[in-house]
Amino acid sequence: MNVQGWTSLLLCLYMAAYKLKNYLRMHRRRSGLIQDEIAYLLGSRDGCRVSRYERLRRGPLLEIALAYEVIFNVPVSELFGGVFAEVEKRVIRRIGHLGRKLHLRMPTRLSQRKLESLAAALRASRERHD
Amino acid sequence: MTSRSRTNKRTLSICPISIGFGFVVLERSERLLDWGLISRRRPCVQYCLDRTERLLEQYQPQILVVQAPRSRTARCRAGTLARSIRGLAATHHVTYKALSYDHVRHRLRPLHVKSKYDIACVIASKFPELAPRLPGRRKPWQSEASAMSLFLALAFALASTGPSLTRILSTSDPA
Repeated sequence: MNVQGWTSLLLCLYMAAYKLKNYLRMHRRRSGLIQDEIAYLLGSRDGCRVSRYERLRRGPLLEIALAYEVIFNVPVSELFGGVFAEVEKRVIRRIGHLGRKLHLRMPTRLSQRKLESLAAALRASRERHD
Repeated sequence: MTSRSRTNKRTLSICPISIGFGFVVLERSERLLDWGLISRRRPCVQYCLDRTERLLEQYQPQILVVQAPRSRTARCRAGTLARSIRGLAATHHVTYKALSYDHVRHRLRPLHVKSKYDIACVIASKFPELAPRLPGRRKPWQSEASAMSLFLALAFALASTGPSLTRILSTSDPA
């Protein structure tokens, strides 16, 4: 990936950083469900936990995040758009560092395969922002 | 790549009413993040400002839109609130915009809307999640439903964005 490609990808990731940490409240209100009803679907007793997730007081466990995906039929990466954007930014930077390290080593079939995997990850990230 | 449709610009729009204010939070002029009616039996400007500040901290919008008071010297609570919110926006480094109802109605003229109810109907068709809040058509002896402030707040938010307001509202697909 050339310098221009890197710059444009990092700019997209920066723009994505304007996203909210999560969009749970938006989807819940669109569905018309109240917090107690979402809590029941998640297996909780009352809506306090749901309120904490929506207000970002507490991050949900993986199972709860996946339950949200089932309830709203929206991928976890979109439900937690802001968090996903931050994680993506960090990982993309590390992909760049690792790619440069692999390039400096003696090329082998295994290192080629690793570079292809990293390039595929970069392409997928680019497509998400195109 | 840096076009407006790609940025997640958030707009908080507030429409003051006698018992509080209606608000909406819009992202990219197509995604309704949150909406509600903040009301209290005896609301005061400070209470409304506190709630507005809470919304600013929660959603961190880039733009804050308020219905402009009828005159610069309007002493009504809505006018005082609009002016106070301007100071709050400056404190939080948020772009402040004050729009009048006449401005919004003028921009919606191609859609042949004549009243607030017509504006609300157009908005409810575009944003179906607000449809349950649509009040009935007001009779001459009735006062305005407080829920109308939600639709007006959304109209102000859409009017403050770049794309044409009529283009946003005239597409048949809901947001």
